[in-house]
Amino acid sequence: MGVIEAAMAGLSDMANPVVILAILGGAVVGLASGALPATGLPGIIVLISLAVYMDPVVAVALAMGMAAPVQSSDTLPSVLLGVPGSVSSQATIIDGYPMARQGRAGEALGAAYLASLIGGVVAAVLIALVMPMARGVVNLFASPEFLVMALMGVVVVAVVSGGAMLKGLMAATLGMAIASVGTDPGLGLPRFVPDSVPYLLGGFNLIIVVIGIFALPEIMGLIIENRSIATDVSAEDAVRDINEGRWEGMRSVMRNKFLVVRSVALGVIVGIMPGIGGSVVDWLTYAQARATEKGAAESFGTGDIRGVIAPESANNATSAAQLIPTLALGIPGGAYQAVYLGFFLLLGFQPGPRFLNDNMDIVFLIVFSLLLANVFGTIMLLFLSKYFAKIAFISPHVLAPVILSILLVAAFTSKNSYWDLGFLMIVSLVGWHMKRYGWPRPPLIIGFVLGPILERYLSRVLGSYDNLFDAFTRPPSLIIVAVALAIAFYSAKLARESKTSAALLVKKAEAGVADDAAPRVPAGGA
Amino acid sequence: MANDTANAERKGLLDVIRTTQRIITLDIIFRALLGFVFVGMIVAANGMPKTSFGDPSAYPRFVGVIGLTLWVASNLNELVTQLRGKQQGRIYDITFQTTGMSPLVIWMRTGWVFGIMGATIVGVWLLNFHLAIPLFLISYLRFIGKIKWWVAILIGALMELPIGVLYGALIHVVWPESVLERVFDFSLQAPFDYLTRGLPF
Repeated sequence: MGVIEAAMAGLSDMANPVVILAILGGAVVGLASGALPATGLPGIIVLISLAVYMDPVVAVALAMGMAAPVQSSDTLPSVLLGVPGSVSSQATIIDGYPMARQGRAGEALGAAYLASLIGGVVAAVLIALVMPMARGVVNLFASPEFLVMALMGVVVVAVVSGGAMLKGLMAATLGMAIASVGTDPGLGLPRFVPDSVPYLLGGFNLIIVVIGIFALPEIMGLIIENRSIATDVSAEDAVRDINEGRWEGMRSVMRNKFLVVRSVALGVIVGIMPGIGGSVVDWLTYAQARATEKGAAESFGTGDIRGVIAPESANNATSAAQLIPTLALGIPGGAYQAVYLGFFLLLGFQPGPRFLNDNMDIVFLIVFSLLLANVFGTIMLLFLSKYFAKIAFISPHVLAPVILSILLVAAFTSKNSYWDLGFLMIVSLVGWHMKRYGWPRPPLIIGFVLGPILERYLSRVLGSYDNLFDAFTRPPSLIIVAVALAIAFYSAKLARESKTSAALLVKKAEAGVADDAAPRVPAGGA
Repeated sequence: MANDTANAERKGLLDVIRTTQRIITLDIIFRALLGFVFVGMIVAANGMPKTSFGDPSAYPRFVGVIGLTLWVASNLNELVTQLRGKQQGRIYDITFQTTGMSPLVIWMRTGWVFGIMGATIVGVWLLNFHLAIPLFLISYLRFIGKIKWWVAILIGALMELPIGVLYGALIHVVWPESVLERVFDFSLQAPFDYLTRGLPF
């Protein structure tokens, strides 16, 4: 399919009112998820459990509709409460929260919404430009290159798992091991399946693994912590200034256009590199803005709007740009992208060369959905922030059982068996243990999703080559290994730098505000 | 005298339990299980048939060998870290960690969460999703969330929308027959299917 033809097909899909409704519905769920920490991934999983029963075009539109605005509404708790809505909105707190305490919450939010919109739109356009070019490159690769790429994808993500590289690698290998349960794809023989549990012949379902490893431990965290994220202020106090100065904030973005361009560019670069993503990019852009903007060294941390614009421009761009390696190479950049990769596989698409050759129209559908969802999301936030912000004030003892119930129902729909629920309990025990004892969970999901892809290429390579060494030493494979190692080292360096910046900036911010008003920057992210 | 001896014995036993708990932590058990998985994969792979059509043992062996190598390296690294008294590095996870709570409270609440999940699953087997999930929600919201009865009942009733309408009637998920439905020979999904039969989905 030609590029123009594919773009027109994608555009004609958008003419379907059901597709537009799906994007709108996804955007509302995405906005609500972003406004409430810990519910982003559970929300996506519930949507995916529904989407696999839908027409693939509507399902893709729904998922992208939800993915796009999460990074916009996660600013609400960051600015209003000093608590990040997600790991990619931590740096926004440093200046956004002092602005809110000065009665400038609306200005900070207006700037954040427009900056996020620009970042999301630029990255979506970039996907449309890069994918057709990537098709030419990816078509040059053969099985050994895809095997090396899948392996390197797992390795890179695990290597940048913060200070726990070996744990990250082991978690990825555990994911690959879980993926081997079921039926051998070559001969159709059962593998690691007890006779008494025929349920496992089809292997573990992605929905069960993601709910068990990520979603349920998050909900358990909510119940166990037993406190609303908004503890220090009342809902009325927090949203009082939310509509004041929005347009002034948006004008500030236009006045700082070069900062926006730099931050979006950095966000896109980080997004394309597998592994680091959201937890790092906001700190990196914040640090670069502080180092390059005039007078920022003194004013950042005290309520400077540029400290909000920089991270917010970047995090939306990163989130969309992460789809590029996921769709073009079948290599997810992080946990969310691994879930999306699994989602595409469940829908019958095979990200990688076949996807680019046969489903370029879906690529354009993704681009148009992201564009529309970003616009929808920004408009809704501009006029309905007050209501989305109040979500953060719901008690965990009200929210958690509702989400838990929906997750149990969603888990059951994976194979319509009681075994779904039994295995969900076992997998969630593993997920909770990993969360509690500092095991990185994203590599496990990436290993699980990439496992079958690895097995397919491993089998083809072993059928064509005498040994793996011959396959791995082909010049294109060596180039991929070199590039992957360079990315791993560079990503690890960026992550280290962002951690140092984060520590310094948080210290400065905590010194700048009264003790009782210090922002609650979390332990895990930075 | 007998009491003193009993107390001393009890104290000695408690010391042994505490020391054991320090050495055999849950993470050690988790690591041991991981090692068992990787060794098991290698052993099982060796027993798998190899034909000219394919080698089903290749992938498990590949994963098992890599996993075991990493397992040895990780445990050695952990040992060295512990002996040197160094702190583990922080991880980049998707979310944040529970902080500032005593391990005992975390344990008790973890047990409680798994307990209510298990009870709900048993409830689903006995009563079907249609009754078990709203009942779980109403009781949790009322007795733990301390919200008003009518709000709890309303939220519980609204849960029927995703279960009966969205999943059941629109995307045709087949809910399993519960013990209650089997005994009384009826279907809790039937009213939803009847009410939504004219919808264009």
